Amino acid sequence: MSIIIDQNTRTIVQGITGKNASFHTKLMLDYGTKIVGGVTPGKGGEEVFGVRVYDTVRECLRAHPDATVSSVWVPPRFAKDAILEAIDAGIKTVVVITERIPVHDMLCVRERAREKGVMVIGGNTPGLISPGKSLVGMLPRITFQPGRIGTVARSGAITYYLANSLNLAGFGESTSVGLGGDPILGANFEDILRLFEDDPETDAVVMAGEIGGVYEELAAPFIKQMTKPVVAFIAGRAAPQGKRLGHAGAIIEGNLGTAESKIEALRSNGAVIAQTLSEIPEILRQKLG
Amino acid sequence: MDSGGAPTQDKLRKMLGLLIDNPRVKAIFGARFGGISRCDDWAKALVQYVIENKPAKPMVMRMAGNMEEEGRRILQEAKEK
Repeated sequence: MSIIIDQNTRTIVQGITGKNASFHTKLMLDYGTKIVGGVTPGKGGEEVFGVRVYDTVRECLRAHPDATVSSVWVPPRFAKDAILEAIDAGIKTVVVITERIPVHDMLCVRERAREKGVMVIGGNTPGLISPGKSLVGMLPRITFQPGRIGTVARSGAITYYLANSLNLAGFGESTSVGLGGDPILGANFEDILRLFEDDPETDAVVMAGEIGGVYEELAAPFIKQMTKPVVAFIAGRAAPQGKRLGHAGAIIEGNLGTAESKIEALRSNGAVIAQTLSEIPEILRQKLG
Repeated sequence: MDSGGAPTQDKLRKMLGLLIDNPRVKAIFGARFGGISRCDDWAKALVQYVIENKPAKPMVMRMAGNMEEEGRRILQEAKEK
């Protein structure tokens, strides 16, 4: 197993005719991801690397009722509509690549997703990968190897570097999930930790948080209940207050969102704190014996 | 300095310019892990910036991920010229 996606997952691409989306559609297909259709309003009937384009998600699902996962690549001002359309059409997991979606739009989307029991991952996520099985998003495939470590991070580049350092040490990933760098996220650390805890093919979890917001603090109490080891890394320890570090959500506002607060919450609930990504494999080796 | 996702070549060249022109900067270390960003775009921007501006400060660049091979080919070709 793995979490959220595997070799049987059927997926669609919203905004498939865009520059980035079509390029990454090709890379996903090359990886073996089963993309059964794409959606761009007004471009129904076209094809992108052999993938049929539909005008609406509903139409696409009528032709491919087995699709359960969608990735959303549309510009920020259209993202809310695209995500709601996917939720209403019956998609179970929506992976939102789009960056800088308006905060109110995301709040609306998150509520609708909760009501309907849909998992929204992102916005501003690199996507997720179950190595050797399926890749939804734009993570670079060369970085990931099949294995038994689950990873969940906010940042794309940290997701890649983390997998890279795991792989160099002989580990691999059951699934790697990027939560995204925007201030309002759909799925949070706790949602993903719960899935890894129940996944028989995951032995341990590495979570990489970063300054800004309280998603790491909110997940901390669940770590205490977990049977699997959790190693945590927090990026941005040197960040000054009020300076945004790359991601829209990566900012310390007043006393909120500091690395110290996150590290303390995670440590006191049983996570092992790593100071650098490169020391994580050694910690895992000790924890897993 | 963070480029954000999928930066254009123009943006990358401007970033290099801002860093190089800052008198407090002695050297530049760049890292590009190609995800939504592409290593070939990064390499093209770098080569064009170096040709146009001939910066005197040392630059060390790390590059991996999507379109890495194409990026390395662009850098290699530029080196041979």
